[in-house]
Amino acid sequence: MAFETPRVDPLPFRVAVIGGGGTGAALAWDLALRGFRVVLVERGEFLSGTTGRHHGQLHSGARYAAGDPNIARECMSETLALRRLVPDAVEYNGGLFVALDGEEAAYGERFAEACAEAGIPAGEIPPARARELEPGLSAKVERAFLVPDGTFDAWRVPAAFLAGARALGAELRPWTGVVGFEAEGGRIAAARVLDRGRGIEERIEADYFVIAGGAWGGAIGALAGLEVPVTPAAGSMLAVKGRLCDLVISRLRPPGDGDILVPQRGLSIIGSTQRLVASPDALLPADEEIAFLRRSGAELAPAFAEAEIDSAWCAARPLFGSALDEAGGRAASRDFAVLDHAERDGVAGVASVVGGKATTLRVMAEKAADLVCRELDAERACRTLETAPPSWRALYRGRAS
Amino acid sequence: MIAKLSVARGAGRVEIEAEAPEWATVLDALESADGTQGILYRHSCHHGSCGVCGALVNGAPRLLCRTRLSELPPGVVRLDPLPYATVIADIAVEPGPLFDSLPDFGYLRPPARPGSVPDQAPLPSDRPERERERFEDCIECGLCLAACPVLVPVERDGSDEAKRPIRPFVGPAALGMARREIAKGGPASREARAVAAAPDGVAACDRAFACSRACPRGVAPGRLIEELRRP
Repeated sequence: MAFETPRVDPLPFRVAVIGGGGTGAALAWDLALRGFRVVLVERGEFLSGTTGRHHGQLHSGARYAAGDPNIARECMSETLALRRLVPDAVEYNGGLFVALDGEEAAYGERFAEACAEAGIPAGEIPPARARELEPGLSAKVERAFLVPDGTFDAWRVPAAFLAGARALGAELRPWTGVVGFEAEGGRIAAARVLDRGRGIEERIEADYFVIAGGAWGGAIGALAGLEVPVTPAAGSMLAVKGRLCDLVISRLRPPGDGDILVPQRGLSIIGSTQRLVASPDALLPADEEIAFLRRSGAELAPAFAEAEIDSAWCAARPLFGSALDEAGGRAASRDFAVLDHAERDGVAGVASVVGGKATTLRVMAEKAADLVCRELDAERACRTLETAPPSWRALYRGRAS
Repeated sequence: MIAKLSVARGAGRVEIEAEAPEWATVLDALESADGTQGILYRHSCHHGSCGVCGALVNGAPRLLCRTRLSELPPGVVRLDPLPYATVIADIAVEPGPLFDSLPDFGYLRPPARPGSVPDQAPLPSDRPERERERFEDCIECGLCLAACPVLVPVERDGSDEAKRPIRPFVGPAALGMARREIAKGGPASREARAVAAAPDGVAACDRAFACSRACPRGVAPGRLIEELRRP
């Protein structure tokens, strides 16, 4: 499938995207398709924050249906969109929700109703059939539901969006971090950035700025005197060697710790834990989290207990809100918001995207770009639902010195 | 434990120390020590799936996230950039030559059936096991290119001249992909055969098998190249 660069009707506005993670990547692609001139800065390598580290579950939304119907619906439609747009980076094998005890079995009715209300097909199958589909599954399964979950490649999906943005002329600058902002008459006019590769500071002017810093959004906003309500939460994950399942296996209960088993290439990953942290930098899993995840994985697939550990790591989730419950923020919504700082902080020319999930990166970008259009009085429709990006490989092609 | 790292910085080096758990990887140690030294290094998934964090660890191409400190000899760990790529700073590189070499073959097996991408959410209940989709094992990390003695000849006098490819060679990653595309009867089989048959294809390989030894995912590109030699 050769990529043909889409025709774009250029707009006379330059938009700066701060952050080259999943959201920033999708936003650069969306804005470039609408005709904006885009510059994106990322302090490290693209996707070196949170999106790249996630376990790869492409959420149908079943996990959130009972507690968070909005994000559930969004997950379902985004799952189908990503599968269509970036088919080579999606494994669409489905998912199983399994009850391992009576309490979980009793949750089945509520789960099925909530999925139906959110438009997520969930079909109950006999436990024996579930174990036929996934022979590695625990023998304790009492009930099982099939759902349209999948997995995706957390590097390749957003890298394809970045490659598309660059094909449309976006200036993508990894290794370039924001160190300050300059305001003129109550409006952000420029960002001061440090090009870490060359060791020089520069000024980047733009007509509008969007902070897509994920868990780092609070620190970036503070540089402009903005309050960006994001709380970083550390989520630890554990991978063992070998593929213990092809479907994503989840516990039939409200979202919690250690309740999803995700196949990814030759690995099986159990996710995850959650604890609030002061800084999203340099997070490592705690020993007790690794032991907990090992036990949790084995509850779903007994072979997990003895399988060789491949890797243990931690990602910083960007929870939306700053006053979260003491239980580690699980009750916090995984929904997202686009915040206009003219309204919130009296500083014009800048918005933030907060919260969200890797599965919803495209729609987060769409809502943020809609706001940019309104603010710059340049109404242009979103095109990312019908325009497939080029291969992720294009991101680095043709750039040898 | 205290990890001691010596990281290439231009013509010189920067020495750092980091407190890290016993099971920590070189990447974990770099993460803990970053901030003060501002070292540039590529990383993303931290579990050997994205292929981004390749570097030379004590002279050998490795993924930083899959190299545990405990498996290295005691003492200072030397980190250098991958030799085939363009250095941005420190050990961060632009992996352009790798991606220039890779054809755009599909990435799942078995090949997606024509028209199999519905707009409705499917229930996968009737899908037989053999039809399940799977990402290829190759993570496009480029360690096989860095290890290849044709592309990166062993340095004799330390000059850049010595690192130039011995002859034009598309490299083990592209040939491995070509072999898999042909083996699964993928839609680009013909193109894959052309990649293999080109002068810089199979014929340019010296059969050193350094690629197979360097591969962090057991893809064994050297064996796949041998399979391409058979008529």
